[in-house]
Amino acid sequence: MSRTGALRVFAPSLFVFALSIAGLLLGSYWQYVLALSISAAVIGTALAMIVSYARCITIATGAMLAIGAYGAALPVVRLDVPFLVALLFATALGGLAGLILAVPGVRFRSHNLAMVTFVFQAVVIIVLRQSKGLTGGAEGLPIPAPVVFGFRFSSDADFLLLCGFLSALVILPLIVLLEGALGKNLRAVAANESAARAFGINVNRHLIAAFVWSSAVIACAGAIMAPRYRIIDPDSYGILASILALAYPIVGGMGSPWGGLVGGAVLRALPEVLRPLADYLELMFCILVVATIIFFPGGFGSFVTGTFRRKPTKLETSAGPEPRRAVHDFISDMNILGRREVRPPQDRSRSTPILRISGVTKSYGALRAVSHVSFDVTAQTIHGLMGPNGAGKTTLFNIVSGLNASDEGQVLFDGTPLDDVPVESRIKLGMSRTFQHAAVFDKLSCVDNVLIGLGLNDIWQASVRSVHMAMHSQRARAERKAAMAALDAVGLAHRARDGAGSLSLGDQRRLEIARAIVSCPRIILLDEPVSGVSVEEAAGLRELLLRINRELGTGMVVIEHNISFLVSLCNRISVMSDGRIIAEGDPDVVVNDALVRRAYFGEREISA
Amino acid sequence: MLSELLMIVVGGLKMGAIYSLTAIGIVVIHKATRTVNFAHGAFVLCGAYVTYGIVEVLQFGWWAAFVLASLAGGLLAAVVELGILRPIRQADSFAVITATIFIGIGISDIYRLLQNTEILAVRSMIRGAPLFIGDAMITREQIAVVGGAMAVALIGVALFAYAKFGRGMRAMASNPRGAVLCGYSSDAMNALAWFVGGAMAGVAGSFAAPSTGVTAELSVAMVTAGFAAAVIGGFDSLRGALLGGLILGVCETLAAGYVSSAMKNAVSFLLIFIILLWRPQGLFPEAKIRHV
Amino acid sequence: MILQVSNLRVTAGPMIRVDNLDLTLEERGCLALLGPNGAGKTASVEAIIGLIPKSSGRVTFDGLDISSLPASSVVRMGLSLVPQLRELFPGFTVDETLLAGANAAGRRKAGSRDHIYDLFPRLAERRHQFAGSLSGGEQQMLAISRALMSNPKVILLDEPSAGLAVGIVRSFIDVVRQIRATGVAILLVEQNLEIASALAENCIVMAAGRVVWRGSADDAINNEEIRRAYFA
Repeated sequence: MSRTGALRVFAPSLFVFALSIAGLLLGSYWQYVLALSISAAVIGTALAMIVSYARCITIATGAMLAIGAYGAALPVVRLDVPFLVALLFATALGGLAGLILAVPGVRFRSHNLAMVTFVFQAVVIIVLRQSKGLTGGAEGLPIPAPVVFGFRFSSDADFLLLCGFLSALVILPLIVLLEGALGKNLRAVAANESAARAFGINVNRHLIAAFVWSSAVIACAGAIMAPRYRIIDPDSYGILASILALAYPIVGGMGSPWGGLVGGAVLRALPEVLRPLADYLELMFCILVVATIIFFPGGFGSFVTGTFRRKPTKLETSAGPEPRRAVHDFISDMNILGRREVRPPQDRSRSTPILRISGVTKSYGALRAVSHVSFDVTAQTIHGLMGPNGAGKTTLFNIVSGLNASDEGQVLFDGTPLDDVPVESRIKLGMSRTFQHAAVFDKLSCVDNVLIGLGLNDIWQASVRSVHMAMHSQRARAERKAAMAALDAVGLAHRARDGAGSLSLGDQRRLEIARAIVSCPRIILLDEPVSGVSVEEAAGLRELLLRINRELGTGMVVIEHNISFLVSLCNRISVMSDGRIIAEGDPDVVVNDALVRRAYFGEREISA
Repeated sequence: MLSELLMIVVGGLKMGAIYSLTAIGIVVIHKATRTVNFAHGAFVLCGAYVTYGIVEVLQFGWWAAFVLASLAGGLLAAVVELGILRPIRQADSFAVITATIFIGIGISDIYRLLQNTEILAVRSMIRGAPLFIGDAMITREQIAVVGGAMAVALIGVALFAYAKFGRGMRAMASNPRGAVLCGYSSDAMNALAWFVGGAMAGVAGSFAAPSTGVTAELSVAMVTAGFAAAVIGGFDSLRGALLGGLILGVCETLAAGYVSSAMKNAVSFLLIFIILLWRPQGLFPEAKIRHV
Repeated sequence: MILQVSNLRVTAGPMIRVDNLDLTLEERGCLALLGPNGAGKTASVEAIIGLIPKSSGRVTFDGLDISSLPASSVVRMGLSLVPQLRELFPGFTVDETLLAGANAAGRRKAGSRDHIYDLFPRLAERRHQFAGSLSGGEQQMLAISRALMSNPKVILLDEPSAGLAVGIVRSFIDVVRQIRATGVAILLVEQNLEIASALAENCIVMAAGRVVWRGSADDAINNEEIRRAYFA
């Protein structure tokens, strides 16, 4: 495992460097083209982070290249700074530019974000063009060949090797992040933002991080390539460069960094390879991109891997045998990881309320979705919540988990008011949840889904964990073991590497449960955990939830329409109707309550 | 100098009126189909090119140019919607936005292949002696463009608000499921919205041709200006797009006159940025009537 | 029979929302579709009219196979839906909403606004008011009126009594009876057994996407089996 893991991380860099070595066998012109290809491969990989993983449209690539190019060239030309130092400076400058762009920009999505990047692109070029004194303006800035440790890289072959080596180096940290926790978190955000937030992923910070890392790498690529152009001017880094760069991940493949890498390398070389068609090339490019979007959504890379991907066999798709010791193993694995201590429940009657909902009210305009709802959930119990459609149950859940704010009232978790606790922080307190429409991250594997459930997802943690994953360190191994244990506990260990989107609905609901328990939460909010599954699967899920409650001591609040399921699962049930609690208590008693029956059957007085 | 200011403002209103027309087209498309059309500038270019062909090459009159330019813009837009965007609409907005970006570049490239990089000149709409208000000189061309473009813009807004097919588009914009239940076909409404938006762009191209000439750069310049005007006005408001265009035009000429011509280029970008950050709903947002 | 549904199956991703639904609606008849939440009632009527896609199954309306037609075409043939969420246009006035509804008459003769205003005097008082500012009951009236403007032969009503105050429910039942008197057949989706039995001759009970009971409305109202279907 460690060997293949290391290969994944180093392969792109090795590929890039190998390209440059291969170029030594070619003529000087092709060495120049290869250098362009390698530079574009770096840009494509960086764009994979923003475009493929975070699914943001950026038209600021040209500006970032310019910032890198001028950011390295000016210190060398005007201040005699050594090339490598200038390169580092330019890379940092690019990162800073990414930050400046992203901080205001990420509050928008989709077309407005694209427009903000367009504004950035245009303004940077205008400023560069106007600062004639500093940059030479539109007349251009001549750049000398790079000098490293006294050696002048002036021939095409020399330059190609330098370019290949430096590009391989700069791609490496990017790949570590992309294949690691940060990349997975970005893809989770793109798959289901609410679920991502519920497990601790701060969306804005992740997007900003994506822009910062990508911009730094793009600027570095611009800085590396600039000396080969001999002279640079702002207009060659204009909007067209940005738009054409956008094509690299889109055509190459949106499923992995290789898509951007190979897409960039191939597309950049095309104009040189197809010289006679030079005039038509840009138009053909556009046609190629639009055709790819229509006929090969996800790019060529996804098309190719999709054709060759092994489809899970019938045997594998049915749920595995009921795990007997699995939950117990899970406890010991989680304790190895040093997570919060897991104890089976003691005496329930002495437990204090883990969740206290007090006077919560939420209105949408004139509609009172939730009206002065109050109830307690005792620690380590399973508390059911039922009611007809429109009763306000999911709204209440969203308030408790933090996706919505209440107008009045308070939610207390283990005595702590949750008013100022954002949704991303609630997982750390010990609250996790599942969603009404199985909100798994469909493009990630099952084990990756569960790893996100650990909740170690703030930006710094995600970056550090990415490095751990790349090095296959003990910590990464322990985390993976915990995730596998959670999967085993729900009976999905045999599907660990499969994409979550390939699971049946029942299995997706199990995966959600695995994701919800892996952090050893004090309480799990389950929203319709058996909706849409067969009677047999519902029975299996019921057994699983009971076992989790018994052996892990995890409390649960369950919304369900399947009333017999709820009655057989819960210790206590609250019934909501029209935003209010109309009954609460022992399941059998509540279900036979006249008020409850009326709410469902509507035995209202309709004839006088 | 008051007369200098007046001339600058009138000059700004002239380009502003053209921006308004462009922006209205963008907003119509967005209101009806929830798509932001980054290819809109290419439709303007199409209209300008057709105008060149009618007025300079075939030597027909300007009225023919307006009609044919709007038809050309409309048809081009409808083809883009039906042929390219409809199949990919189920995907998220990412695919559609990216497609429109590349379609826009592609159309400009087709133009460049047909005409190389020379700028095609188109003669003025109206000849004749300019008017004078005090020391300020106002050309008949300026009056014609402002008056004409505003008239077309107002007709477009009125059609959308009151005409039968306007009702269908507004229903679709307000609630697509409800509109379908009223028998409005979403394919037909989408195509119609794109046609109307493209037609507005085509006419904008007609008005722009004498001032800017016909060049591939028109495509990017007009989509930027149109987008800026739409953002200033509040993206889903037709009235806002109209006023936003005028505001943008005047700001540009003021910047060019009193600061520098480089500043003029930056104005639309700066305005987009400032409005998005400070008042994202725009200066003239449509009053939202909320469900009870 | 004016509407026939056979083997209707509706899936949403991995979820099966409707499994093998058969139903028949007679001309001028009224059939109630009952069941608890999540039973698949709304998915059924929306799939019948073509608003959401069907995985398989056949729908025949007035002798024609409409299984693969888009909803906007089906509506023009005379099959209307008043959806659960009403789906009104907040910025349209009452009058304009009715005009929009008339569009669905297609080539057939449209309903008349005067007739609607006779049926719903409260709407007549508010004809120039915006739909978004009406009360819940008025919005429901407007949604039904909009469907009536297309002069339909069949109306699918999805939970029309949801959110209505008790007093309005009674007049609503009268209105539906009046509509039936003009010859329109009705497929009524309801959770409320009493309303359903006041209006429909026959009913079908669904649970978890499947049909669990068929029979006359009179039998349904006293049936312990049905109550169990809701709670089990």
